[in-house]
Amino acid sequence: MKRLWVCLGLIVCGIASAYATTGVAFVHGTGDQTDAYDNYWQPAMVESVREGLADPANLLVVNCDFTQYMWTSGAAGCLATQLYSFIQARHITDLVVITHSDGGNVMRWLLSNPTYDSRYPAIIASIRWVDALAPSSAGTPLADAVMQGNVFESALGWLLGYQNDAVRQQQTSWMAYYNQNFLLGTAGRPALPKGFWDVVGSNVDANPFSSAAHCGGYADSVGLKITRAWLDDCSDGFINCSSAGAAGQVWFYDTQAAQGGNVLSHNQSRRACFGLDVILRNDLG
Amino acid sequence: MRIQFPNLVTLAVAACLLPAAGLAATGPARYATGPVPVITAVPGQLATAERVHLALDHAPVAVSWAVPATQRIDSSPRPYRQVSRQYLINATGAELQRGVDVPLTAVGDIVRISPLGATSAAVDAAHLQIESRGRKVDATQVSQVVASGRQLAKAGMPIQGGSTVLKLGASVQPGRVRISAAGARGRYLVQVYEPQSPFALGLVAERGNNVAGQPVQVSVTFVPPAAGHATFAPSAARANLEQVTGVLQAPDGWSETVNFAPGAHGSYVASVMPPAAHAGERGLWEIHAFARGQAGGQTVLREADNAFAIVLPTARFSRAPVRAVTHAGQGVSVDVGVEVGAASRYAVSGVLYGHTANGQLRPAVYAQAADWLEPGRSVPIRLTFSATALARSGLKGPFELRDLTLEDQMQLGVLQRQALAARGLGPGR
Repeated sequence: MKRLWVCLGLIVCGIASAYATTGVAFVHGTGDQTDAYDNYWQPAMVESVREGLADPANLLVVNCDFTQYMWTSGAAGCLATQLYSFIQARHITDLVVITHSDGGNVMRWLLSNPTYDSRYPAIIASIRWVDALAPSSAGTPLADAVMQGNVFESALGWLLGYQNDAVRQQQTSWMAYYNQNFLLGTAGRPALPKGFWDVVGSNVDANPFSSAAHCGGYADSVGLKITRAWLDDCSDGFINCSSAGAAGQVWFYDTQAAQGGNVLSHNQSRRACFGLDVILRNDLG
Repeated sequence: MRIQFPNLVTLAVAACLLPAAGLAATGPARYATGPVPVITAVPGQLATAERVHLALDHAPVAVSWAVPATQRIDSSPRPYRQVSRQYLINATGAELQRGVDVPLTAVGDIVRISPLGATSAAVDAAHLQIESRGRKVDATQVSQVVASGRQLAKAGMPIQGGSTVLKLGASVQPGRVRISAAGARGRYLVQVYEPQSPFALGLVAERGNNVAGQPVQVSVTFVPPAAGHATFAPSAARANLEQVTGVLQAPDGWSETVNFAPGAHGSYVASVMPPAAHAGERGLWEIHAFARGQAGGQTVLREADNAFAIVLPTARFSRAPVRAVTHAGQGVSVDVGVEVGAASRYAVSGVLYGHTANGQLRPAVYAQAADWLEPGRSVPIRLTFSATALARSGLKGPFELRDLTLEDQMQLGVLQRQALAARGLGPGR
């Protein structure tokens, strides 16, 4: 409903909207992806959303190296290259971007720094809005905890676990700095040039006897009992609701829109769980 | 006499604090500018070379869009304060075999033991023992949850394999606890997280944006307990710092030890001096503080980390940055003068404020423009607030230019940020 005015605006545009060419781009989260279609989103999610397109070919699954800082050529640069090529090749004039987790930060970097690259304005101009699934817009305390201690070890060339620049960047202090200086759309900052609509997961169902827990693969219930100690009561098991809703506008909380009032864990918010794929598909119309 | 230029943020804040009438009185009749904030590592001199060299776009780009008039834009945001209830202990395998003391201030703590390096042995939870109040038991007996690094990674917390993580049960009371591990070999990191502890350490730098070669004040203090946090001894819920050490780390990996000294109101403070030789890399500098305190006879350990930016002063606004204002159609274009020390791609951004029908000043349009600039004479970057965006905002002149920011897109640094740059722009109502 919050997008009603945007939809009305498109209708008012009349001729222009009648000839709009709609496309969808899926932008993955942290990780170096070469087959995000199979490994990150999985076919059930992508193919379900594709059904909402008049031309099913107008769909892009981005594959970039999001282990890097959001501003690097391997992250935002790669994203821009793939989006720009897609828009040009398919003559897209109405692009819906679906991001997950840190992918929201990379996309927001592009939206916030349109003058960094002369291709960015054309990309932004073609975007209708961004559906940001569980974006880590204010970072996550889990990144803080994981990075702790690396100041000792980095000098020795060791890294504790899975740390990379994307994890470092998602520390709460780093995101606080970038939200205040280089990123737009958070409290106290100018609005983004296009809508950035957050989907917020509020809890994790890790009960192995619950069918809801199965969708998207079981979260490790033992591990969750530990990681939850770092997170707020309202979190998707990886980021707090306050982080997911920190940039742009909250589109909906999981329990408001998911089938059966189910919650969407961080893993589930990139999968075809509890009708999320249908919500995204219907939103293309 | 050469003007002594204070650093960027001090001036930005100063500009913000200056009364509007004073700003209006200092400039030309049509558009008035406030005092110009200038940054420089050596007063009057700009850095003449970038630290990093990347193939950036050389094409000029300018954009603008309307922002909601109801939005509150903060041109001088407060530095972020990191709050921590965690600490770390480094231990050798021999020490861990004998037992490592971990002071606890709450129940329900989480203890993680991670081997460091390829030659350190993994920790088997079955070989961990906990000694508390003279009683030594298997860790698994007094833990609510025992998890491996792999299980945490699957739950979204990617710590390395070979780690063991315990969530201690209520039987492990606050106080001195000794953890030992038979078979420990190599080096280990022991991380203790106390989510229920009333003692949280706050760490803050005085500014988020800083210039290389100029001091940055950082301070640590115990922050008041948040409502709802249990205390092991309510009468002793106040902790006092006794010792704080730290490490300053640059994005290129350089680091140095930081010594904190007692400051006001129970805080400890340090003045760090990020060297220019390590500035100009993309990414943030980090300050790590390791604190020991006392609360009611109990030892409280904490580590907190925070981040801030250090830039090379490769450019600055001209002394009168708002050089020319034109009104093409119903739009507003503002030329912003930039003095360049090092060739790079520079971006200027700002928010044009306008007036509502009843005379209230509100944000109307955000604009950003960038171009590749070579060193030499002051050159302008033109901010164009488009007629379309202004019409969409519904606001009318006279306009004000606020939150004027100069960024170096090579080093990704904010060089200057001015809360109020010009008033009286554009036609009146």
